Amino acid sequence: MAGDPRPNSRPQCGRRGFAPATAGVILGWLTAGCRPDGSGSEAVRDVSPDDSAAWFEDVTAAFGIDFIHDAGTPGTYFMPEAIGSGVAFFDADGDALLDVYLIQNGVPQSGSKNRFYRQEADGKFRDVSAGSGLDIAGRGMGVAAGDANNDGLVDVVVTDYGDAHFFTNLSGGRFEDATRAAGIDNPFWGSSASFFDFDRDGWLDLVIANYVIFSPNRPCTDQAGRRDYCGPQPFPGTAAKLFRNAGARPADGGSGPGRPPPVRFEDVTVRSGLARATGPGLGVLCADFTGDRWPDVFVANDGKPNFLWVNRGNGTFEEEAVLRGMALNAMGKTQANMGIAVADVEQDGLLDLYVTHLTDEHHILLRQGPRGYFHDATGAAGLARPVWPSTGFGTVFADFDLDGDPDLAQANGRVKFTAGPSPPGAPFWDVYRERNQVFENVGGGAFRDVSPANAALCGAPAVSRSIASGDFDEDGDVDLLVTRIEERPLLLRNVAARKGAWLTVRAVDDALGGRDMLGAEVIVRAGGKSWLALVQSGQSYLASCDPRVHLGLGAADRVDSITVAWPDGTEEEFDGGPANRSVTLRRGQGRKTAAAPPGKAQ
Amino acid sequence: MSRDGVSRDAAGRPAPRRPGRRRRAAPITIFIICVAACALVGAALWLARGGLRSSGPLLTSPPAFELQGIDPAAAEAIRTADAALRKDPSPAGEWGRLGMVLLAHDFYPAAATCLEQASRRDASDPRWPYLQGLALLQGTPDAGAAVPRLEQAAALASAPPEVHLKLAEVLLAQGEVERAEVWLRRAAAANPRSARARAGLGRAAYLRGDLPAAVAELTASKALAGDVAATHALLAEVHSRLGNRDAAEAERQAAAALPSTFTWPDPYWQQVVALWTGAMANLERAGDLQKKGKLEEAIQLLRDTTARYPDAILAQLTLGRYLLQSQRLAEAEAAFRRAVVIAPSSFEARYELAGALQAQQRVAEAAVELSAALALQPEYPPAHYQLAQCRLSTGDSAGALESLRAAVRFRPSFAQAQRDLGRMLVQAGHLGEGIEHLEAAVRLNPSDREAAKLLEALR
Repeated sequence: MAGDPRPNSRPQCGRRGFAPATAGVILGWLTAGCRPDGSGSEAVRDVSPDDSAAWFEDVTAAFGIDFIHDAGTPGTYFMPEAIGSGVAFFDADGDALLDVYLIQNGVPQSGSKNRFYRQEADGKFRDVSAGSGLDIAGRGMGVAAGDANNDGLVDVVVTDYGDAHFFTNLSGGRFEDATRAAGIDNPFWGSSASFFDFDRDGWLDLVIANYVIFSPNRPCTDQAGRRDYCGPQPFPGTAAKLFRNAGARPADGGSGPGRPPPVRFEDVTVRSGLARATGPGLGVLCADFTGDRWPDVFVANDGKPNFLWVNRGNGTFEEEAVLRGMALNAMGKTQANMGIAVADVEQDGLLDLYVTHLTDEHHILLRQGPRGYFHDATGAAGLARPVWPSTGFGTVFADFDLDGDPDLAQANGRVKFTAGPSPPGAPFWDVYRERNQVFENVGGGAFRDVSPANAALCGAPAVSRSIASGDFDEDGDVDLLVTRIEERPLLLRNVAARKGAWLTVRAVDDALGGRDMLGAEVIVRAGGKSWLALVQSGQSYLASCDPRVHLGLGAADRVDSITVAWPDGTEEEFDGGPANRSVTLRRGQGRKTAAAPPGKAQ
Repeated sequence: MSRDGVSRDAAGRPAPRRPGRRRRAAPITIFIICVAACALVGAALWLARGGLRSSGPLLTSPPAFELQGIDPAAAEAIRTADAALRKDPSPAGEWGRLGMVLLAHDFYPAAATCLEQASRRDASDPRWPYLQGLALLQGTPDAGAAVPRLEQAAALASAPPEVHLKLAEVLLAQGEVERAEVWLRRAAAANPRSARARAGLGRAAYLRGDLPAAVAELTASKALAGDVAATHALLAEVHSRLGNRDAAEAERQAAAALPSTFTWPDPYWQQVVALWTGAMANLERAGDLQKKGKLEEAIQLLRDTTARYPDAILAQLTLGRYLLQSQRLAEAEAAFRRAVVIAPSSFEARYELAGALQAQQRVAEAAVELSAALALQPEYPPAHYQLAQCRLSTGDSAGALESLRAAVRFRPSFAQAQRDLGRMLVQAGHLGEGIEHLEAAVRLNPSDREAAKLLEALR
């Protein structure tokens, strides 16, 4: 009604006031929303603590993990104590439940031993270290898990400062140190290790990344002369060791009734070509990076260019990291290079890598494209400016919220202080503590930092090192286990609000003892989309992860088909079915397809 | 107007209200208030996010920092700069100098604060915001805060091209290719012979996916400065992607032959480096002198350093190495013996002493020191190899064989050791094993004619 008097005499920003208010808002946005640096590389704004529900809850104590890491006597700046240690999620006893193996780093004479926890039917973990054979003491670094003798039981390798141990799984929670009998001799500072079948003969081979030849009495300081841990630069690097699995022979002497077939490895480091280049190797990841279905070996070298050992298919490898854009960062500089995560982050059918670095560098997302070539896409992915900087070690991709896009988690902790050592009386490790990080993939390979919203993983600063992923509670989403120097680890159960359906895939070969087919690639098609994932427990840093493939399917409630590219180069397709379940795909039970490489052709 | 103040028409009904002056002004007022409020909010957010200049009063005293445990010379330099600033905190130069001294010694947050104060006092000197940007990029890096500082420096007419190029490189690293290219093109236009600008343009073209342009720019850069490993490495990758295998391999080999630690010259950063002091700084300078062929100066600097820092093991070892290099063998031996006294458990001290003894043909003594060194650190292959040589000289073949086995065990890629071990094994009648090692030697070093000849003779 014209002239309708309003009882309220205050100015009204009703319809009449909308246009001026909008103009004001726009003007305000132009001044406030336009960042001083004009940065446009962040895909989505970062979250504040109240902005998003947390993804994890700390269940470490509640679920029976009472391990406390021992790094030895602090203050001597003995470098190995700042580098370890690792963790494994693996099914030790074949009961389809993930067990846990945590590595110690105290001196060999200390009472601090590696601890083995068996998951019980109620989901809790029980310390069964005593009598397991895995309860060794030493300067433990990394761990790899894989069935080396195809007897259906997962064996274990532990790397050490100056040694490596191979444990045969005897079943019943018992392991036997078969290092020498198996031919494993690694007298170096071993770091990450991984099982893979490089010659595609059905037997899992072993690669161990080795670090530096460290001189314990060499003092290192910062620019102001304050004593701190050494970096790798003053010391010569070493070659990764490659051990070819010669295959277990039950008829060989040494085996007996009820005993597993003995494993024999042959050191082929020189013959394979891996001895030709040395470096301070910390991370290792085995996968087919060139699309020829032969697994290659990517080694993250600390402070030196990375290596990509391309499998020639004839027992030899050629180093091609520089040629393929994997050696250096976007500016052609070497970075620290510690942990490695792998996933197809933008669902283009090509595996991408994420490598962690030091606080004054940036962690690098190596996006693959075209096939076999990688480029530093960190800035474009929104990962170059996290909420807080960090020195990253262990790292994994996993779709934590099941929205269909793999997210990223990272374990952080410094190796050098920023403002001097801890004051007298303060805990030694205080100045090395950092908060972990987690990034949500918001689609198209763009990430936003959701660390502030995840206190269980990212709240308390610590000197974290390894991180292993796995669905330990068998509820379809991925959980985490983080190791921390001189503290208890973090067992983090995934409690993220589910944004979609899920599928867990286990790829096995009954002819090979029913073991997990490490190196297989799984493509799941659902709802008009497809997801590529790698079957590989050896990833992150010093860790062995759940070898099953865990996928979030987003809105799709039904799987159309699953294709498995087996490590021997053959390929089979399996029927789909409902989502929200775990499936085990057995080689030979699918339909053989033409072995065309997935993703874009080179 | 009726007595109640309400306008009424002739019939006594309230007359339609026409907006008076106050009502006509209301929408304008609302608009102005909204705009002002939004602008205030925006400005506050912008400043909070680190706008071009920090708000707040200028500091009158320097920030706090802890000097406990640092090199005495570094502490002295910092205290001197600090005292000068406290005496007169007005000039930008005093703040800048303290900031630079702090930056030289890894005190990044305090350095950033001082350099910001310098910048606020003298907006015309590009040094201050530039170095503040560098301080913000190190330690606990804040690229978001660093970039505006670098931009502030680059905008000044007196900024040298290195400032523009550093800004461009930081932007490239952040994925800001277009913004980086603006600065790179400007630098290239100012100096078409700038290898660094060309390298940056090449990298930007690569990041845009324009591989032919990347090749052109990187090749131009390489022609101007052929000792930059990163340029060769990127060319290798680009050639590989373009299918130019031979060119790719040539560039890869060129990159591998160059140190990966190359940094472009930076006049402002050099000023900071010049302020770095202490034992580690002297060690670095001695190394620079040695690389330039000024060995005597390097030795003198190290003598001065070891006199001031008698327990500085690294300075002592480096002195010994340079004395050895200048063939002053007895003096080198003395330096290494001093190192052993300083650090009896140092592998390096024993190992280097052995080297000095070997150089004087005192093989038996050298063998003792090598054995002692290897007892401290068994996995150093060159030490095993040298011990093998010593043992051979003294007729200890069995010992030599053991040492060569150890050398090869700890470094399977040690081609010389593989060859020598293979030869010794063959001579000792272990044909199969000997051939294995000779084959390894040839595989590792195809140009080793001796190993190849031996193998041929055996076949």
